[in-house]
Amino acid sequence: MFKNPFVVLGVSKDATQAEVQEAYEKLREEYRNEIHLEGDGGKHAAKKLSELEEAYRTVMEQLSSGREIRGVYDHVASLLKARKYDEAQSALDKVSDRGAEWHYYQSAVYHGKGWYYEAKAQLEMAINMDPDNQKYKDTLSRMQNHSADPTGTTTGSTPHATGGSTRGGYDTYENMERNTRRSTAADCCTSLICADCCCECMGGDLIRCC
Amino acid sequence: MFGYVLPDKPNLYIKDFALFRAYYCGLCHATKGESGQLARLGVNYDATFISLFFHGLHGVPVSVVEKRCILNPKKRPVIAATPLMKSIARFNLVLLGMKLEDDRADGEWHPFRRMAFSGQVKKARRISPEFAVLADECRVRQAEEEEKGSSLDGAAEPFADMMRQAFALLAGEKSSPEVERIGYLLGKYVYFMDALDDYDADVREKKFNPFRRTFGSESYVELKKTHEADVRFIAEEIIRGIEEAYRSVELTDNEGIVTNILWYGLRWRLDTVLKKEKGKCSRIRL
Repeated sequence: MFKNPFVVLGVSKDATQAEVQEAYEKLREEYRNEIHLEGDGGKHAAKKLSELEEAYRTVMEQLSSGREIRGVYDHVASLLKARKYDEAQSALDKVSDRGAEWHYYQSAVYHGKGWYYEAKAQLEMAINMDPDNQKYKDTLSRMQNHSADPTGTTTGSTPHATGGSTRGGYDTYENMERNTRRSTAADCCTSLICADCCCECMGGDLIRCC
Repeated sequence: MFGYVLPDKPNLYIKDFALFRAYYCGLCHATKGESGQLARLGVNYDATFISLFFHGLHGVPVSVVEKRCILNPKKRPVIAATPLMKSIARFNLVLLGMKLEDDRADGEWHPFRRMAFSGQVKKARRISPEFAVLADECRVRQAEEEEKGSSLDGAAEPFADMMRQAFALLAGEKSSPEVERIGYLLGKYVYFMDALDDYDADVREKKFNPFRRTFGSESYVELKKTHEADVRFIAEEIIRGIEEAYRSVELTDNEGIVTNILWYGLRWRLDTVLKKEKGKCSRIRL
């Protein structure tokens, strides 16, 4: 019968390697003492011991592979910071277990390379696989708002400078567009008043009240 | 693939417009000097931008001379040819040659265009073999990508990468990851804009079109109806990427006009492509 290895070991699911080791050694000692008992007690302890060995092996495997993947992702993140996209890509290619996080990092690599459509597709995949992850959703909305570094992996945190920077005598696109809009609304009134003045000069009237 | 990197004229200072025209004419005269009269037909706005950008980056001292044009008898201020200008004129011709080869491979035979350019292209390729190598490599990789049926971004990669390398070559010791990135993303932008512009023609002639491969729409109108948000997203991300890289590039000259093109011009051109207006017709942003 398959038993949850964490229950067998009596540790929580996010126990560290050291905790698992300690629990394992303690239980093994206990069962080893019991194994020499006569009758059912000894048999029971022997069964328990083999279960324990099995559980220990499974948990240790899971822990070390988890750490390995973690290490790969940390490595990818550091490569992204250094803008070595090809190396980051080949590091990712080696991972065979491709969960939501893998797609998230793949998205970051694509975004860094300038493959924006692929970056968005990968991020949406990550969200599909892990719909509760707020980090992925925030990243997607940042990407859709064209923030400079949506995944926050390439440059650390550089806020997208929006206001106040002009270059070569030109305002940023955002400011330019805003100003143009504002002045058109005002221009509309001004030109009406001008037209009224002209009409009055010529003896007519456009706006009755002034 | 030409005519997508232009200034947003309504928001352009007169002084910058004068500069743009002087560079355009300068490039045209440099092309004449390099490759003869007929090759001048190949001068375009994208090459003018490249010329403005790299003269600004290097701070090349330029002199202005008054010259007459075959199309216009009035004398105009023109930037006198510099070695860099000549080099860009040759690069432009090599690119033109690449396009002509593509057209020929697609079975489009333009005797006049061939007559006008083939000799000049050969000459330009001989004098600047580094550009010729880039262009050939790009054609080979492009054919592979189309064969492979790769993604939207994959299809743009050969041309974008060629532009990146060309920018690195033209920048020389002033080259930086940011300059290369501007080249890469501009190449991508031009490739996508061209693909959008030619969408209906490509469908009609059953030619490869990256947007068709990815989205499968039967006409440009249909593509816009179903996937305009995606297209806009990609193009705006590219423009944003260019702005980001441009922030760390220092220009000695021509900063105004280059800023206008990169900040406003690309967006304006994207709008016209999405609305399918003629590129040269100026539209005032309201």
